[in-house]
Amino acid sequence: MDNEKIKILEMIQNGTITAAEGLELLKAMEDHDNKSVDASNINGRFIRIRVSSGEHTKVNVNVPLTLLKVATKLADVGLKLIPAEARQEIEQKGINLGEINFEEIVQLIDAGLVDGKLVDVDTDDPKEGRTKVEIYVE
Amino acid sequence: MWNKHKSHFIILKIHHGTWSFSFPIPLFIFDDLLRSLLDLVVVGECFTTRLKLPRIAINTLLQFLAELRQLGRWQMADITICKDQVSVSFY
Repeated sequence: MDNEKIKILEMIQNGTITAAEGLELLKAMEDHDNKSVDASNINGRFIRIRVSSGEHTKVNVNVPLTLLKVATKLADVGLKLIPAEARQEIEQKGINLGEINFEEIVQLIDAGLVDGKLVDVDTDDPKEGRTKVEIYVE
Repeated sequence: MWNKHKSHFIILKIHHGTWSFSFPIPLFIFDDLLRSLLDLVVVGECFTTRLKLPRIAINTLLQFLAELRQLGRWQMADITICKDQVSVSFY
């Protein structure tokens, strides 16, 4: 972008365009830059899941954080739909479903407390080859 | 019909060997379906209290779809296993 600005200044210096025209061009470029920044803000951050196993298996999943926030509400509703008997069985195994706070997990990621890589597993198996699992926020 | 809502599609692409399949699914189909279901559930709530959770779930799904539409173009998943490939994108 700086090269383009230099070109505009050179055009003014050479007399190809007037100073007023050059100023308008520079303003137009700045407006374009601001719009680009706004667009990236709309897109927001993504949770990216990358899995590669050997040469033939590749998994690439992207989930926007905004979508994850709404999904947590769905998860809360889903937990309430679990039948009482199944809930008791799970609780007997030491998992208290009521204590799982999905919103808090997403809020932590969103606030940047768990920024960067969430999961990074790299294994090398002689039979299956190299397996790499990465989950990170970008 | 296609202009009913701002166009947003889920593009499902499947490659299996030499066979390839792309299917665009308009998001408003789900939107309309959920809204119709919500109307039915709201009417049903006059007769039973058991429909409270489904109503919350449908409302949340509608919110989910609204969020999807705001995101514009993005690729959700691209999974390749040997020569088979499945990708899900939003346009």
